[in-house]
Amino acid sequence: MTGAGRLREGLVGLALAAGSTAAALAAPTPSHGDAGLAAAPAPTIEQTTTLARTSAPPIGPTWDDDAALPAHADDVVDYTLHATLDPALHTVRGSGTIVWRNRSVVPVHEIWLHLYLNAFKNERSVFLREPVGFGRGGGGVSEFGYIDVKSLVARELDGADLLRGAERTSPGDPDDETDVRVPLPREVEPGATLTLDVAWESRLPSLVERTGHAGTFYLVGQWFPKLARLERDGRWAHFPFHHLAEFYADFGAYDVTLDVPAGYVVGATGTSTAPEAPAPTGRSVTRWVQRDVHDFAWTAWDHFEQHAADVDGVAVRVLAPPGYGAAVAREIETVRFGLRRFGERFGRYPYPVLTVVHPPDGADEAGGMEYPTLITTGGAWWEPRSLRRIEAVTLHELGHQWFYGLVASDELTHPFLDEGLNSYAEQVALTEWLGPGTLASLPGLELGDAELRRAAAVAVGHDDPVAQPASAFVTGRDYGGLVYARTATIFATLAGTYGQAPVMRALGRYARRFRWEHPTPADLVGAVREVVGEEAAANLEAALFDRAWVDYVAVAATSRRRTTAAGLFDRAGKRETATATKSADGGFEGWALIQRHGTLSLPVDIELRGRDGSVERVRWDGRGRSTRVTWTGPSELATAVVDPDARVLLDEDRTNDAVRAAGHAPASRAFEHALYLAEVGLAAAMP
Amino acid sequence: MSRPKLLPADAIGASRRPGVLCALWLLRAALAVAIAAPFGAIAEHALGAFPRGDAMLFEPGGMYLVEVSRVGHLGLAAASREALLIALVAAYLGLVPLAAELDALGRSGRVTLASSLSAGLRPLGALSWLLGASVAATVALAFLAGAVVTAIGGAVNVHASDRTVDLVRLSIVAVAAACAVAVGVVHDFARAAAVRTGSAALTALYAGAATFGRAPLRAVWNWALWAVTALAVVALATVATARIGVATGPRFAAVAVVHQVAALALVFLRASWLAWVLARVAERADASAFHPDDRAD
Repeated sequence: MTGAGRLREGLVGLALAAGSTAAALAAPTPSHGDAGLAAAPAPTIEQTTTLARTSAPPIGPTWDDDAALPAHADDVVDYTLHATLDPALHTVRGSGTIVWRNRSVVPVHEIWLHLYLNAFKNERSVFLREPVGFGRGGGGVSEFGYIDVKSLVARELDGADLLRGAERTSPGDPDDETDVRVPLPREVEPGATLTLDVAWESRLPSLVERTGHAGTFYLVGQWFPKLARLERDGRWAHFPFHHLAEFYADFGAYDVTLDVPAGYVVGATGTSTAPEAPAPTGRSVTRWVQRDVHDFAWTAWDHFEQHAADVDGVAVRVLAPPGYGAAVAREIETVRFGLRRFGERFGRYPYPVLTVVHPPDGADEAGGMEYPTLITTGGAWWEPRSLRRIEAVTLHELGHQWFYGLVASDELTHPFLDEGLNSYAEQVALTEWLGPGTLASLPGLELGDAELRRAAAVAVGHDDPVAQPASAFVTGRDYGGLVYARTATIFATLAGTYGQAPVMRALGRYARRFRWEHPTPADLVGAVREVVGEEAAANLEAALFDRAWVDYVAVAATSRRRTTAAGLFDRAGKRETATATKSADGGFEGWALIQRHGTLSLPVDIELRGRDGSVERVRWDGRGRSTRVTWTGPSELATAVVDPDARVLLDEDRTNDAVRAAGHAPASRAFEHALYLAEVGLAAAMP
Repeated sequence: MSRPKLLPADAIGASRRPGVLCALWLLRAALAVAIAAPFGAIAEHALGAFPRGDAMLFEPGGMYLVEVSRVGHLGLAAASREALLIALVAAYLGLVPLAAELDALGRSGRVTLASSLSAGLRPLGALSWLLGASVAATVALAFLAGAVVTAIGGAVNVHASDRTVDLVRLSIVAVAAACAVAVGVVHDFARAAAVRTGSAALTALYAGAATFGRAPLRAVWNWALWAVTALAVVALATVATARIGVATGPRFAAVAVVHQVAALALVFLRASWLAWVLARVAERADASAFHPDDRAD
């Protein structure tokens, strides 16, 4: 989802209201006697860091183009579901089959189910308790929602009713019901399959955090009992629904039949195919099928207008409120650009469809979100083209089809791997497409999102590491500033320092190699090391894990006319007194002192400029704490500027990058513009 | 000299007082200097050492604009507060030059600093009361419009599309804005009456309302022409200066000239509107002289 730009202020109330936790699962409370293999706790920050920094195997140039791309994902879990929407009660009744394969190397004695709609069940849930300050979902829930699993039967385990042994709450948290352990009566061997027949009932909350209803509009995400992902080592990557966290799951095939009232237009993950049975009277039944995805979301509304376009064989469908034709045209234009650009850069888009949902006014919590083959965007119907929010949000969410959808990193443990990389990919593409005014392009003012992200990134750079679990961020501001903005700024700095082409090639290699896989930060750093070099990888690692920072400062600049040396000199046994005399060429000599503060060592240019306009540039490797650059020339040294092309976007303070040998240039342009604005303002204010 | 076609016939009368207009422009510029100086100082402190200086503020992408805003946010906040204070003071004390301007536009003869000061200070009491009444009426209108927008917008929202809801809300705001314009026009008529006759606030308000009542649509239409022309001047200056840019000294000089021409044009447009207002107030006074029953004011 989009980050800092969509975050809004407002304290999330720390829920202190008393109230017993009702059962998440409708079955009787189980005993824990047959728990089997104990659940591994979620990794700590230290463990995450250690794991992530383990060296990764080489990738190789094979992955620089699409030739080696796999045709399909390793199919781990398949869902065949049937769901019925009741708009009067805002409920979804569902049933179906989950076929799961133990892809790990150890026998499995339990499964973990994510029941994320229970995040909105009451104010004691982890989600609603977390005081992250501001952000999506910060407004609370006006109508609570839940998911009750009615039955859960394992066919291969003699039809065992798994609900009997299932725990009701998340581990170590008697109040949260989003992450529940289900012990198995018998172990499932590596490579063996488990078929689960499941039935459940959900009530959708008022629209909050990408799911729920607003009037008759529905965005239905995290709505079914979903298996957590089992890592190869037998550790279940399960976690409660945290306020700032997103998701993590295995790839598989989804075959979902949706039954909604007639008149509702439905959009969903995958391709629409003919349903197996005709719709009952007054109902509309659609069936959606998609393989090689790790989630399924859908939307339904009785006011959607449908728009369609074909982009290089991908059927793009836009669902928008009536009267949003101009916005829809911009969204299709954006998708057309994005599918091509991201496809060239990170591997072709592999699905035949893409659905873009533009939520209506009042359903803002549904906007700016990504699901496999379905994204949501936002913006007003009247939004002028000079403001680029529609393009920015649409392109960002489209980028998630790669960094989240196809490269399915763990969004809880390493949120920067999807949101951060995607922010960088989006800002580069957006600039290539729209020029420097990627946020606003007004007469006399072009604002770019890279520039604003840079400001957000340096503002929070000392608060926390970028590379930490989403749940570890203490505020939404830190999460947005570090995960989205700082990651993008780190990569923009690497691109500015070592070249955009190699950095993009590294990301392309990473994205193709780990298509339909679940890479770690070590894989990303490994790709950068391979393509960009060891120094870039070391800087990347430090910036991600160690809160590394840098501030280049132009400290002093001076010069004087070149002269011979004055003083007392012992020559040929005699002490001579020499006075300074002007050199024959009449030139000047001097120096500029540049310091590097912080823990990042990035090579940088230093520009010396003489009073006669002559310019000299030198490259500093940035390894020492300071460097003194000498100046010799026909005129006095006027200014020294470190990083004159602003390539090191991580530089904490750009205003101290220059120093003058003497004086200051008056800010006449700023003064004049302020003067004129004041005159216009006074013309309005004065009688 | 041919008259601009869009301006009301009497408006051109403002050109009879070029000295007054220049004085008003200089006065406004002097106040603007007080507002702008701290902003210039902040920019100079941040970027004065760079070879390109504060031209970097205007570079595409806004890197240094954002950076100076970030690094200098405390200074900018203080400068903004100071600017607001100056604007508030100017909004009130501006009644003095307004009265002097109305006096100069409403009579022939030489205008001196002493006569202007005298003419400006004499009706200050009445103009103050009128300003208070106008602000109160405008604020009340804004609250009323907000309440209606919320109520009607909410009711329409249930059944209508976003576009319809927004258009309904916009229509309500437009009606409220038209009412606010009417308040403003009556206010200007009343000010002109107060300056012209030296009458008290209530009497002037009655005279203003009566003048407005004689041809309300014509008055609002003429005010709208003036306002649209003023907006067009600002928009044209913005587009022109954006195209010129400030990358070089000559371009920057051209931008400064365009800006000051626009500022002077705003002074002229305001004066031309006030001249028209004075003419209507005078017309109404002349007309009432033939109708003794209408002499209550």
